Amino acid sequence: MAIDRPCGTFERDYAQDMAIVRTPLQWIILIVGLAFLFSLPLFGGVRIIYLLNYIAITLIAVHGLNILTGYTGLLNLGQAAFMAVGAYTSGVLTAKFGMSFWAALPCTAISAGIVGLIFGLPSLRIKGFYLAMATLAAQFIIISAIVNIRPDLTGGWSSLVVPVPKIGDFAFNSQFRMFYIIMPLAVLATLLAKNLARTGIGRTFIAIRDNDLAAEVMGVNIFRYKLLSFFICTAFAGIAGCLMAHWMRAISPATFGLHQSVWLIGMVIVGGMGSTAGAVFGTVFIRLVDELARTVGPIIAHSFPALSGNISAAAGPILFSLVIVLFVIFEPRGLAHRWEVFKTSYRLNPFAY
Amino acid sequence: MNKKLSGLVAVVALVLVALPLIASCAPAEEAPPAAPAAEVKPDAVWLRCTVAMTGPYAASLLPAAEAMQDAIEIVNRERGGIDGVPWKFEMLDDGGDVAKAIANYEQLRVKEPKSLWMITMGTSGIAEALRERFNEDGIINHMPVGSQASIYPAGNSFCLVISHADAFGFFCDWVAETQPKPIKLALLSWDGSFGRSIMSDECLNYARQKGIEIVATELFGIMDMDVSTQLTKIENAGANWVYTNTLGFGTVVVLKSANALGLQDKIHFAGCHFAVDYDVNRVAGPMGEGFVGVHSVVTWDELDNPYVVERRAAFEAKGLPEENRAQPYLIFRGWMDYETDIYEKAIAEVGWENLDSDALKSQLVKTKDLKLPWTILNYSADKPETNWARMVEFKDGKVLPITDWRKAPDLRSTEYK
Repeated sequence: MAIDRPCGTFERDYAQDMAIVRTPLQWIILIVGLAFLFSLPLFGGVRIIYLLNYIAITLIAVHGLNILTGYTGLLNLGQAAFMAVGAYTSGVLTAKFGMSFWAALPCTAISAGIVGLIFGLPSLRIKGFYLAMATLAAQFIIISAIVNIRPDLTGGWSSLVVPVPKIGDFAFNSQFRMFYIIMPLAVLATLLAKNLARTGIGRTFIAIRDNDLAAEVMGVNIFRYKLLSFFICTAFAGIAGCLMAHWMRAISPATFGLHQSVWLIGMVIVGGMGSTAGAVFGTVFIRLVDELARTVGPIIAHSFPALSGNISAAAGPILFSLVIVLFVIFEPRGLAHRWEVFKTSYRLNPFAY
Repeated sequence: MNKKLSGLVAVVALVLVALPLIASCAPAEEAPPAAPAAEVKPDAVWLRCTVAMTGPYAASLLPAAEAMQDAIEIVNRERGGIDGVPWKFEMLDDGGDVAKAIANYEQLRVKEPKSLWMITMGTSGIAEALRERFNEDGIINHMPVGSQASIYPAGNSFCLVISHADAFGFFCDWVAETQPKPIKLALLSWDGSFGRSIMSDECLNYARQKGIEIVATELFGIMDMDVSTQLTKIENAGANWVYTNTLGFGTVVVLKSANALGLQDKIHFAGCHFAVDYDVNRVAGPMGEGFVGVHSVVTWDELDNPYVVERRAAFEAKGLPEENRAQPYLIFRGWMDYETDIYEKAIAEVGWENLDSDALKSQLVKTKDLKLPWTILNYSADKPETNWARMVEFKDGKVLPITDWRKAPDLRSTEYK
């Protein structure tokens, strides 16, 4: 751990070595960063706050996916469907049964976690592509269940209108106000995900990922920890789905399609699997690429009329696919690895060793 | 717990405690600005729009930007805008994504001076998500077409063309009255709110009432590039007609797959309003020959209509690309004229000082069977969607009407009647 510490920075005990924030400078950066982040709505435009909200909601789901796929090594192609479980749990509880958003929020984590447990059961027997297929099935089964089982509650294929969260008469009815619900939860999710990796549970997940047979021989209850990983992953997705529902104020099954699950996997890959910082980098990067595609598509179409709408239709998917392919080829360890390389070179500067 | 972690937890706790305080300092409810000031005409009337200019709907909707700009310039030049106040317009891209459309809406609704009227062009999901917001914020939303959940319960959202359900009823009337019996119909649509809107009990029962047998109901994804499996099942079910509630690439995929399977000699194909648009006709080419659909506006190929002739001349004078020869360029000119009329009537009644969305809406719902050079509009307080249409056909690369204008049956869900 301490091999890349800058000169003059020493850890005197194990706890210090394992701390998330170790130096006064890091504390200052953290506090200033959080203060800046939480004061952004006071001077940022609605577009920026929208983007931050979108990134933060996605980040929570990506953290969950990173715990399952990055740390435990179990592929999940149905994360968007687990978000849908959270979204519809909250949507139905608040819109149809009049429950408060604050009471519904923990219910979404539990409901999505339980559904995740069910679809995680096959993970004891199958892994790799086979588990990917099982979670892919979850994507279709869950959406189909939402649409067909109780359309009177969920709205079926039509949108379910969801009320805005309130504290007393204070309604969180704008991008700015929702920011103060969404962003703290994203920060908390990041802290939990980061901390999890340092606990015994996190190390067990990593042991299972690296060699589940060896982990079992060492006494790890593989089944229990795989299910725990599924529960945590999908509970994060449930929270993200709940926030998505109350942020958009209307949800439909189309919002949680397979393509969303693929985008979430792409964020984990681009950021770097098994890294909390990677989840942040991947989410921010892919969302910005998406925004870029939205900006350049019409410009290209305007500049090259012969391409017209076709390039606008294709710009987003093309950029996303290109980014994934380039990362898999040139930086399979993701942006998190680049960040580590940068930090190491900064800390060793001016020495090359 | 070590000291550093305790400190971190303390910081997070502090942030969480401070949130309600900071949140209450955040810009208050972003209340839309007030309507134009008393007795003073505004400098401009803004028409603001969120449109899917990227993503799967781009091919159909990208020309809308050019078309709207062009229409607004003409109305400003020829009519001097609204009561001497020029139109201005702003358009944001949502890529067909609900979250982005909501962000666009929130960005547009707080702009000064307030837009009393907006246009949304994208998915039914977007219109459904925004419907309540338009009602709350006192803004009229005019969209080309939407699902029932995006219009009802009737509020501030209006549709320009016939709804999907009513269009299906219109088709049932036509096919039952004019085509050889028996009619064995298969439904082949996108799997979503839009595609499924012709599969309601009201629609299926109406078809049966007309003596039409529904032999198959098939769905496919918006990104699917082939529907051979669905069409094979439809063929095996003995269908002689297929109705598709898709547009753009979706309709092309249906026609292409049917062509690959050699089905177009055995089965007739029909679609909703936007299925028989020029982008489909252009891309499908000969594969689309004979495709029919329910259509609520004029087509580019009605050369005996002076409005169409004027639009064609303007299009050619501008040297616009062939791709722009879709519905937006054709209809926005008339649409802007109509909106200008509504504004002027509302202003004549309540004045600029009292002009709000209610004043505009009260004029809109007075539109009864209004024959315009480009469509026939019919709105009421409980049915903010027109119900006039014709059948059109792809023939020799053209889109030609094959019936006269008539009203469609009302196939709203009973809960909205």
